[in-house]
Amino acid sequence: MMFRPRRIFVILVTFLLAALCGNAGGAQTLRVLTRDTSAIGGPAVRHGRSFETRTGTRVEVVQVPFEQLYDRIMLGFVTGRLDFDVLLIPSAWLADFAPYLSRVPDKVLTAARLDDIQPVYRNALMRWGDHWMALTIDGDLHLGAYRRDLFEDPANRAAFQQRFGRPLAPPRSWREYIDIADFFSGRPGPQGKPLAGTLEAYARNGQRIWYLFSHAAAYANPPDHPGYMFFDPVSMQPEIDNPAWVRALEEYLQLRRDGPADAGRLDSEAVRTRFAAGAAAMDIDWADTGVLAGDARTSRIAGKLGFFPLPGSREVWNPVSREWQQLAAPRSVTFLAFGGWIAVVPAASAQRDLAWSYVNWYASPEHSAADVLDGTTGINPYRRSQLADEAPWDRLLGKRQAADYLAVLKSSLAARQTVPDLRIPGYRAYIEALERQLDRVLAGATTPQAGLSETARQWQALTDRLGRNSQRRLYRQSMGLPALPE
Amino acid sequence: MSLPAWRRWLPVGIRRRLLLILGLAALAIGVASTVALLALLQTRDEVGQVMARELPTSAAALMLARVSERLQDRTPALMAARDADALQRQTELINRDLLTLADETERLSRLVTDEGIGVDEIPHLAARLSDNLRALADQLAVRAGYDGGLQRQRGRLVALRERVQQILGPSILAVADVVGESAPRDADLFRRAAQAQGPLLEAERLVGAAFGELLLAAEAATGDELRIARETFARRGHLLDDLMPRIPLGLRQELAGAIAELSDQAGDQGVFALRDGELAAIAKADTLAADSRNTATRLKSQVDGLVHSANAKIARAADAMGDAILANTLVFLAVSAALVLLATLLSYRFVVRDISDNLRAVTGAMQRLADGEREARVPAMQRRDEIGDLARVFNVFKENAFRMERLDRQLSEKSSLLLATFDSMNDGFTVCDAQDRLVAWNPRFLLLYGLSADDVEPDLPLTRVHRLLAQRGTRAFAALGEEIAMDSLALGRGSMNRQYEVRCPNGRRVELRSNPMPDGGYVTLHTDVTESRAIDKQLRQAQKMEAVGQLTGGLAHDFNNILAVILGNLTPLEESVRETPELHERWQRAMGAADRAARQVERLLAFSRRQRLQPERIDVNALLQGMIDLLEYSLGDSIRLETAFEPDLPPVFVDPGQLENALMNLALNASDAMNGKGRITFSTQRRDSGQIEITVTDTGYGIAPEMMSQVFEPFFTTKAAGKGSGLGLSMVYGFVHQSGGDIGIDSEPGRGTSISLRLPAAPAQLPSDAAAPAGDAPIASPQGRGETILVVDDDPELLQLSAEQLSRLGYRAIRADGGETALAALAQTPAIRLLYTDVAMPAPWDGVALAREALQRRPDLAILYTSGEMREIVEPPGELLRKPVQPEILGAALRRLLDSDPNDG
Repeated sequence: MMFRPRRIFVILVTFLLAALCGNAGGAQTLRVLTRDTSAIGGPAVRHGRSFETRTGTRVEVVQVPFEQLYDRIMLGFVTGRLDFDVLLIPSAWLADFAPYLSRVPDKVLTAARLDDIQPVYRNALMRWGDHWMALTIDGDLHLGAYRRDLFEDPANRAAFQQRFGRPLAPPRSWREYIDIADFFSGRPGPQGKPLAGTLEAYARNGQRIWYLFSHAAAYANPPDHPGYMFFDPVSMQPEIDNPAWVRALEEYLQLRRDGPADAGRLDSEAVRTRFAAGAAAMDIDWADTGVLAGDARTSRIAGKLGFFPLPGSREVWNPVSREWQQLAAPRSVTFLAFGGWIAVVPAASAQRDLAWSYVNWYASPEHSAADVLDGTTGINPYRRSQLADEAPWDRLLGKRQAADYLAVLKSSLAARQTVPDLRIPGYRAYIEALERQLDRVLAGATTPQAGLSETARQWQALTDRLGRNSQRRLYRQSMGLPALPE
Repeated sequence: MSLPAWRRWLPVGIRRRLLLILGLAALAIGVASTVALLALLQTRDEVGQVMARELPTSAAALMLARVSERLQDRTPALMAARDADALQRQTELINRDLLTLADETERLSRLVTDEGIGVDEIPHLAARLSDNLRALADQLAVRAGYDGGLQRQRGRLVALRERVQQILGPSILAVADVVGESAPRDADLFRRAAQAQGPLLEAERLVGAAFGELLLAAEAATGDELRIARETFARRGHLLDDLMPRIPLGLRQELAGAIAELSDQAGDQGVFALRDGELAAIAKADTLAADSRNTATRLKSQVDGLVHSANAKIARAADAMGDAILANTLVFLAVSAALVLLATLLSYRFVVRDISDNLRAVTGAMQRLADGEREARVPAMQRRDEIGDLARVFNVFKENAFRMERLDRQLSEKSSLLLATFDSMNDGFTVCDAQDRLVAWNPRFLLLYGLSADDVEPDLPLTRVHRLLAQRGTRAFAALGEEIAMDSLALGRGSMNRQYEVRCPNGRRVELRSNPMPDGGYVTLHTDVTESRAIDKQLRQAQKMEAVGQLTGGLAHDFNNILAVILGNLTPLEESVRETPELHERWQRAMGAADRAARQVERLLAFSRRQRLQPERIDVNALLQGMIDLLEYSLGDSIRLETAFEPDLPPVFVDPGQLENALMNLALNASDAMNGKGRITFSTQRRDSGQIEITVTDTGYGIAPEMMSQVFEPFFTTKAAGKGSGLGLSMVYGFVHQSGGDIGIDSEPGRGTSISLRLPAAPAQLPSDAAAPAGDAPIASPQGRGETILVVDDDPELLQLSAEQLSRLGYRAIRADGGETALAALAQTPAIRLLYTDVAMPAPWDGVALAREALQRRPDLAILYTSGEMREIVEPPGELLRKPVQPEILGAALRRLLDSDPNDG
């Protein structure tokens, strides 16, 4: 039997689609632009087909490599030649694209059941300025996964206890995480091969910056001063080179030694597939890792998994007093790494209503509930209902793994302090400046402090070029802070 | 002596005469002062009249001048006011000053009636200044209006610039990213980006420049500057209009809106028009300000003239008063000087000269007295005044001075004697006051503690001295030997007798004995007891070693008796157990243990100097040389042996075997002290005392100082359990002392140890070698021929054993358990040929006394002693067998004595 809200939703969407198709004559083509992998792009094609079946509107999904996607869209906007009706993009790009996009119609918002979407994603991903500009189709955050079989092995537990004087348990802080990674690094696994202590991504264009951001989240976000993660929200001076970031980068570098020999070439996809192949004791990744490594069809370690929230820290950098602050206990800060994928409709589209209907179809509770259980869709849970119903998870991951996975996701989303990703105009240029310095730091050409200081200098120049007051206003909005008096 | 008539009415006494003269002088000065005061009062009245007339005029003029000056200063402040509030504030201040200006002008016109002083122009100038300043304030208000408009436009411009940056910035960055790719991934994308980049960057540049022109215009100082900025801005506007078609389509509309807003700045309400209006208002205000300044200057100049005139009148009146005061003062001073001169002359004539003559006479007498003229007479003693009193008092003083001089001489002689005593004392001596401060000390005190004369000074707190000594390593001990802090040395010494010992770092020991003094403080005697303490220690050590020796000897003796019983019982058993291998093996083990015990007893006896020695004349160097091979073999390769022999040493008279034993013992000890690795040096030398010294030096870990006094004690060992018996050094000690020498030890922890054996050189004439080697074991057991032997021992078991031994050897044994029994048996049995007695028996009949008594009764009796210890018995002579006595030794001795007996055929 179908739940009552879901039935109402289906009736509503069907009604909406029928109305739109009636208006449009039923023989149009919707052009959708997104990335070229099965993640996000796969569901776009699949739901496009079912949308065509249901409405008669053909959906043409154009998939381009991720590294070309931004340029193609932005240049299209700038030159006024972007002939797409729906764009499936990372939420961080909304800042640059917002001037060229249409707002989400109220009826679409109603159909999308906003109250079912996790508040952190709803506010951080879908709004720009004071308007609803996008529908989220994904919810991203970083979490940790570990090999329960290795952690519960009596020999490992005894050796760990002897070496560190405390029981072997999932890490609560980055310090403990580093100790555990050190402990397992090179230790033979059940198959006899040496294990990596942990897996993190270090490859350029391999999502490595979010690993660095996740390390920094616990150090750079004091409880009493929200919004200081990337910039000082009062002066818009960069915080990227403060001691919290330097420490985060140093630890990120240190952990490369506890990874496999080719750790420097790993991207996030390699992280989760190698972990699923049993090559490491732990990994840090998006929630995809849980689905991929927990599912016996795609994993050699299914049933042996445990999860932990992003490690925290007892020390946190206070950017106002410019000193380290001691907390009573290690505190984990949830970081919405990457934020998630969103769907937007260009203002120039001639079929905006139809485009929004397709988006609603793609992101409907039914479709997304199935997509989050498929490790290849790249879609992670972002609706309350996706976490509330544990039965499908139990079937996919087994009871114990599922309970652990859902508990970590729920606790992360309910954390007292949740930090959104950077989302301001010029986002790509800011990230590119950081990436260039990360290249140099990882190659040993400069120190973490020097690399981050150079990043901060370039960020200052970018902020000046884009207008400091405007950037500050938009940064504060993206961090959920009230506007400063003019 | 009769006085002149005029002096008879003068008062008697110097003080009264002086008072009379001073009274007269004061009266005269008082009269002169009154006259001068009256003259001054008259002058003051005249000056007061002038002031009342001129001061109000001067005050009004001064006020006017101040207001004019203030108004002159307010003009720049008014010009500088940038906002409406400041302008309002300055205008109110000016209006207030203008009111004051009008009031004071009116008042001045009323006061100045004097013809010839020009005040007519002042009201006119004041009115003009007022009008000017009001007009200036109005003009500045106009300027402030323009300024406010400019401020608002600036705010708008900043927001507009941010808007343009947000429109252009992300697009420029995205385009630059595509164009900057080293290998374009999408040719179409690249081409579009490259086309868009130029116009976007140009737009960014032109807009930035236009904003710059606007900001310059808002700050333009002249109309020309403003015109140039306006023209440049217009040109940039045209360029932007031309550029617009080339701007990418997506941005064109948004950017065009922003540029249109920018162009509004060229209009009526724009920056250029506002700044133009502001500059015009500033020019008008400048003109009015200049005129106001001129007017104020002229007004001030007029008022200054008025003030100058009034001040001149006041100055003239003041000059007149000054002249009057000067004249009166001069008259007053002249009269006063004349009176003082008169008083001085009178004083000299009637007082001073008389006093001076008499005082000089008294002073002369004092001077003579000081020069030693004891017979000096004091004049004027008959006078009735103060001079007479002085002369009489001086006479009494003279008598006292003679008495004091006598006492001082006696005291000085006594002090010198006392000081000489202290300085020549052999002990240190200090005196301290009740506050423990050093009052006196003698040189010996400094010498004892190694202090220099600079270290101490009178009144120096004693604790400072103690602290200084403590810093140098000096330590203090109470009478019972427990260490106390140096700081506490001074405690309680002022109230009771105290005794301490102080140990200096150079080894000196000083005994302090302090006694309180009746009037507080205390004296302390510091005696050097270094030598006496050392002698005491040596004496105690010698007594201890003697006591240990006696104790050890006694124990060894008793133990030896026990051993004799054991061995005596075991020996005969051998035959009966030989057939049973198991029993025989047990017997052999028992015998072995008994033998080992016997050897231990021997070592103990060696320590207690009771071993039997067989001294010979020995060349020490030769003996040592002969031992080298054995030592090298025994000590192993890791020990290096070195020798340093003094040539041509005289021989010593010692038992060579025991000396070798002793040296071997020392070498093995040295090897153990070096863990088997190091250097051992054997050296010999002749000492000044004539003794020959053999020194064994090692490079081992040395002996701790606190153990030095124990190393020679039996059973004292630092070696691990089972490694050493603790008897080696004791034996050496006993042997050396028994040989008439002594032994010394010198050791430093970590540096090594030297042990020196000092042996007496052999005398030229030696006692005969008759001290036959009784210890040499005979090989056979010569048998008896039934002779009767009296065997005596207070130990019944030993007695039985000895009797059985004698029986087995073929003798007839008669037993006696003591001296009385033995003498009785001797009397009863004439067949007794030989007395075989234990030496150590209870008094009065020890073995020697018994032998002596027996020989008294039977001079032909042969004597054979036995004892647990070996010593030579001279009177009565007899061979001594050491317990336990082996049958073959006993048999041989009996045979030797009986066969040499002259009574025996």
